[in-house]
Amino acid sequence: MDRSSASAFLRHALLPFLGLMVTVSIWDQRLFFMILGIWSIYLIAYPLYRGRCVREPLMTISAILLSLPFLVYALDRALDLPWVFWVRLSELMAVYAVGLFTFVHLVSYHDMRLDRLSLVFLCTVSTISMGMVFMLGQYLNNLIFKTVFIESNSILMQDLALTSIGALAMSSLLYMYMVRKGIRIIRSLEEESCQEVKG
Amino acid sequence: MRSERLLFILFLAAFLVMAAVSFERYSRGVHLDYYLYPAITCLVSAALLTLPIILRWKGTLTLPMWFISLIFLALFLHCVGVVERFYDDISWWDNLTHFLSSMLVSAMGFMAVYLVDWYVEEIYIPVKVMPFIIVAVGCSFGVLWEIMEWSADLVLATGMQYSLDDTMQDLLMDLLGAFTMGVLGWFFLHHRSPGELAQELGVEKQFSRLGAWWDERNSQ
Repeated sequence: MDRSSASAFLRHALLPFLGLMVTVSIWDQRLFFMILGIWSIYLIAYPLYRGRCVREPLMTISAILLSLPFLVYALDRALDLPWVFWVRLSELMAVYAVGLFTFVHLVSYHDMRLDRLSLVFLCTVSTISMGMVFMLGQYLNNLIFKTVFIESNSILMQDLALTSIGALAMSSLLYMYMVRKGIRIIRSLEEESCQEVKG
Repeated sequence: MRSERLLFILFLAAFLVMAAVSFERYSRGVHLDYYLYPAITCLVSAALLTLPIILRWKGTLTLPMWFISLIFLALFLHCVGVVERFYDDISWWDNLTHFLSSMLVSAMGFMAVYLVDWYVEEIYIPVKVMPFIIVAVGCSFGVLWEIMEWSADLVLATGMQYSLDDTMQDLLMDLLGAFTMGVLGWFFLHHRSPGELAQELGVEKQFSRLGAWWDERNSQ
């Protein structure tokens, strides 16, 4: 199995896992994981079934990052381990992944063209706003289902600060990656007339 | 033009009146915190509003009247809230100011992105993606504002954030304000081209230069 087939196989395999975890999250009344799961399934499935080609290795890294919190969630649920820190960390990583790869997805498949600077700016604001939306999701979870996912204002602000710092760090890494690879403009894969069909 | 000037003078006078009210309270012996911070807020707001007015008069950046009025409204409601302590006494005051401020920031972000998209050759953002960007810019600013308040509370003990519920309501209002501007922006996009907007704002030359610089930077 070559590298691209292995990557496609992995992304295919993650879809039923995510589908299962979305079902579990609905059962558990975890709004955050439900929204995240549905959006992650879309982000992973689109390149597999609609896109003619994929932007590697970003797509595989994104799929792994998006699935990581669900793996932690599944372990936490099965074994009930006191992993509060890791659960929170994995949620934040999911926010970074969703924020960053939502834009990579938009650029790749929705006829967009950005240079390094604009991509980094948009990825940063997208990640920070995703973080905010997920915090609101957690809070709604608190209100609707009487859960306690955000215990205090201090916890919320720590999460938001970590999201913002992480967004800047991840965007900087993306910028450095593009500089290293000599990528000046990132454009729609259709526009690049990519012949590689991976799905 | 004359009615426009009169309106601007009225806008600025409103801030000065609010500042005067704060100072008058000080003369009656009200505690320092109750006059100094509100008075400074009013004067800074007046200065902030003066900037777009001067730019409009000079023709450097002719922001539309509705936009300057929105800036005035957001700043003035904030000042009234601080001076009259409506933030403490009226539960929805904070929500209202957050909603308006978020609309304002989102609108500024929208105009900047819309014009950069038009003048920088190597950047192309489809119309359908634009509302998402408007919302993202508005929400990000809201988050940064809350982090600033939290940091000020930690370092200076300013007491700007009350509780988890309060912060969450602020963020929710930021989201709603940005979303509202996203919807309005989407309609705007279908009625006004970036070229027309640049002409209206009087920034064609500036953005042409910016676009040329940006493209040159990308081609190096």
